[in-house]
Amino acid sequence: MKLYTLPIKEGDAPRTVNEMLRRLLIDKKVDAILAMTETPSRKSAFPTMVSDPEKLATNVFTPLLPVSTGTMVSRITKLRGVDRPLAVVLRSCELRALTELVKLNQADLRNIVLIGVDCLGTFPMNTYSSFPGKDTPTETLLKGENAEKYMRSACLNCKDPTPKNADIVIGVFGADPGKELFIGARTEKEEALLKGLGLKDVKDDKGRKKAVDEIRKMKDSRRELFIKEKSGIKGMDKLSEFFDTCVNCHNCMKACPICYCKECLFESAVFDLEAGKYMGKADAKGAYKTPVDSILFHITRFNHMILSCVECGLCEQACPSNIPLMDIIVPIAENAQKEFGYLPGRDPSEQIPMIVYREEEFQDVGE
Amino acid sequence: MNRVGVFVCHCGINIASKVDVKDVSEYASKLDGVVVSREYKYMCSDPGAKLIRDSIDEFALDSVVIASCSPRMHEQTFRGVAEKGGVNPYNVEITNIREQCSWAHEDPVEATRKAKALVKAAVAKARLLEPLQKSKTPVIPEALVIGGGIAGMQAALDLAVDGFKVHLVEREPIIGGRMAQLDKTFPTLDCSSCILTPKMMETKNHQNIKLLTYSDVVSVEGSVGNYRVKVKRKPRFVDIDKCTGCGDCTRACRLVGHVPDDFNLGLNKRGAAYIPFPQAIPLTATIDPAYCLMKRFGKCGDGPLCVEACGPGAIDLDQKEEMIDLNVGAIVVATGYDLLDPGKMFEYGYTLSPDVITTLELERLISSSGPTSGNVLLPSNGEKPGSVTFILCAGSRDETQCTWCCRIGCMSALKHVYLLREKLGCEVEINICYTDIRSFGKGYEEFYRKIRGKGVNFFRGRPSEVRVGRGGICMEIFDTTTNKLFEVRTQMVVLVPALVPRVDSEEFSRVLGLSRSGDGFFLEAHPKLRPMDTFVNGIFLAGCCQGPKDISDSVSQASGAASRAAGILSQDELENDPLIAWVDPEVCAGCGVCVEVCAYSARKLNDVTGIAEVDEALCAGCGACISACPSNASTHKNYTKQQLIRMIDEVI
Repeated sequence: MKLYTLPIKEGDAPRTVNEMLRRLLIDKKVDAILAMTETPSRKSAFPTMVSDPEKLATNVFTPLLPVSTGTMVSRITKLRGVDRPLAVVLRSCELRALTELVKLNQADLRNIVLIGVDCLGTFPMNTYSSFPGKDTPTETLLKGENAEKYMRSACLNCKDPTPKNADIVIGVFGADPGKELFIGARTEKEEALLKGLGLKDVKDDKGRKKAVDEIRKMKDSRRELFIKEKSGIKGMDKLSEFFDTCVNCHNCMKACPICYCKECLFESAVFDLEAGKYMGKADAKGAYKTPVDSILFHITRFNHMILSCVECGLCEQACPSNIPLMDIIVPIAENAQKEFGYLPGRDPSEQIPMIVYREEEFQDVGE
Repeated sequence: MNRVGVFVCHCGINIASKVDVKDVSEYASKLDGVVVSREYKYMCSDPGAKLIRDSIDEFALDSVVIASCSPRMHEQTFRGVAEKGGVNPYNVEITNIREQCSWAHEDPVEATRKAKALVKAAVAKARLLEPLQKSKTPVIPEALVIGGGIAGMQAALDLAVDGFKVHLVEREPIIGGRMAQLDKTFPTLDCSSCILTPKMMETKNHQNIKLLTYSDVVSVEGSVGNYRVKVKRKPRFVDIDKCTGCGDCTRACRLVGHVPDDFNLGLNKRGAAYIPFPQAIPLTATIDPAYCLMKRFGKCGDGPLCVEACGPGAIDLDQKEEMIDLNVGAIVVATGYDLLDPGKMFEYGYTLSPDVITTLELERLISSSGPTSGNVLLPSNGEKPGSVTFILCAGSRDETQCTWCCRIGCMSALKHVYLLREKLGCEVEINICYTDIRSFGKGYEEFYRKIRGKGVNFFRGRPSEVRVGRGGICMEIFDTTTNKLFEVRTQMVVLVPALVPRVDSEEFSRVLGLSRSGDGFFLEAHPKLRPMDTFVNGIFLAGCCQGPKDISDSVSQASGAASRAAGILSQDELENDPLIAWVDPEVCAGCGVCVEVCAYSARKLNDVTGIAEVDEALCAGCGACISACPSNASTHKNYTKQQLIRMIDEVI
């Protein structure tokens, strides 16, 4: 990856990056940009597709993940890929999700330039919309001092905040975002795209590499501690207790970028029964709680998505009962993915474990 | 909701001795949807069938539940009964209260309770069963036979005589297989080539047989009635149409005397241009690219001598491999066997002395077309051996090598004894080390008795080690019939090695989608009742690829396989089992996971809509796609998630 620096104007990193992206639009290097843009009320921000350079008001550092941009790219390109160049800005978990969705035929990357941004973390929706701090959420994030106390659990225990498989990288780690940012180009094609944007060549990328290594190491040890601490949710009793407040709304499934089904099995007629059968169940057990399929839903959902889980934490954020889903998902994902030697989002050419047959696999199972 | 009838079978006392059949039937009559419930001593008998048919009529049944033995036994019977009675055959649900209930449990009370639960679950499904119709696929009346040995030729000829076009693919340059290497056959001592060459000629000349020699089957797609096969024809660097088989090139080749002759198991050397033996079919020279100087270095002296020598100008050193597409309705696999590498068994000294040989090498030494023109001579010095020792079961019936019996070793050794006596006279000493003499075929035991009278030393036991020293070959054998240890000195050792699957049988089993048994040979669908069938519909087995066999057994199985194949090819169209997968286009997200997990290539994504589709002819109804699909888009007809969940709900 070829590395450049982008000098920050007036200490405003989001605006400097916005200007750089605007240049891409003005120079017709891309026809549209999909990136985080604040809503007019300023209470929230969403990935917004902009083709008019005048209307471009992105903030790629917005500490908010209302939806996964990976899911949005899937929605946009599911029927047919874009036929004009489109730049999409994604953070690392969104890129991982998009890579998985491409493997599952749910997104088409033709004519898309993937711009990955180093992620400093995100805050919960409510925290963001009525932010208690003196500074704006983005300022708090970039300053870094008090950011962690607002941060979502998924971000605190993120498996890798640096973007993988991006064409262009906007790098914060190893740079002083008040003065300059790193910009990386994957191939000569992206180098050409970045020409004329006032970037400076970086002779020695050791500093950047070291910073990235350090942040990954820090995140790894943090995640390891988290997994150790949260590994106790085992067995039906603990599971029932954990999901005790679940209202069966399926919001976790709807927010999940990996839950790609058009119609969830649990929203189909498969589990419908006649009234008499419900009465029969009561007869058989003496008593049972409704709705009947809460735990089964969660177990089945994990079974379907856990190998591709990118740990974005959107499920946890979507839960109206504030069930700390990352407490259960991170340890399960870690163990399951390790069993298959699989890392979601690592490599687009890596096949998902479901479709890989190995004769010498899990020999000990069933013995 | 379907009107369900329940029929509980006593199976004589098989079920009734443990399960209170009357109680189960009465219980069933009260279940939701059940309009009639009956029990009978033998539901599969004619009166039982009549009981079902009459009930269908009287109670206007939509679905039938049979509580009896395993559906593997009588599913077809009861489907037929239902159909005759006017109920769709797929509206029949069988629940197994014999193997899974009466036979498995001791306590009659518990067994009856379980039988009731099983019936309850079956009724729950029967309420939701849907009538299914069979679709049809046309049959291509052509066959592929893989392997041109005696089994393959027999199968090809039988099919050709029946009037079907046959593509016979052989990987070697010539047909004939192992039998072409043999001198005489036991127990009748027929000259092997005298009985084989007429078959080879017939195979070559039959108007319905298309020979594809020096060719490999590389891929097989499709299903019974319509297989799409790709065959790679390797370049033999000789134009098969121009070559007259005169052999001028084989004599002209610069490398004459330098290339090990495979056909003679390396006992002599030939050139790079070769014709394996005089009666070879096709009688066409082949140039071995592994040795030919032109193919290896692009240079052969002042120019290739074979090209110069060839009168008709048949040599074509630029010949390229060719891919041939075939479309056939059925396939007979007759890929034969390998001999266990005798070098693997260090105790028998095969690698220590050229005078330790295998039975197949001895065949070539005895054969008049062999390297010594039929004179049995010691490979080390070209002299007549004064003593020969046979070691039977070399690697067979041996826990460290092959646990199975090779089925031909005893008889082939006895045959060789006869031939050696004939060739070398009475003065040569012959020893046989055997485990048991297995002479089970017609006329085999009589042949054994004849040999026992020929002054042969029989030792019951295997030598622990064959030692090769300056004084010759010696070994110690503990004879278990006399309980004595014998020391035997001999000049020639003949190993009778185990028969093993072809080296590439694992790889080839994947090309065909065949299963293999623990020994590595291809697996038949049933060892007794379907010995020629495989688990892949329309693919049949003949000869040693399924397990060791002698010639007569190979030929019998080949004719059997041909007849099984003809049974398919003689039909205009085949009915497809409707119990297959189905995709709900409204629910499918087009992720393609089902396409990847399908072992039958029965799935693809529609080019336009992007959603998954099922090829009804190819789908085997295995259900892999159903479990791989995270939503309810993939469904198995009459094994829908809803039906199965209902069944589970009833029993828990």
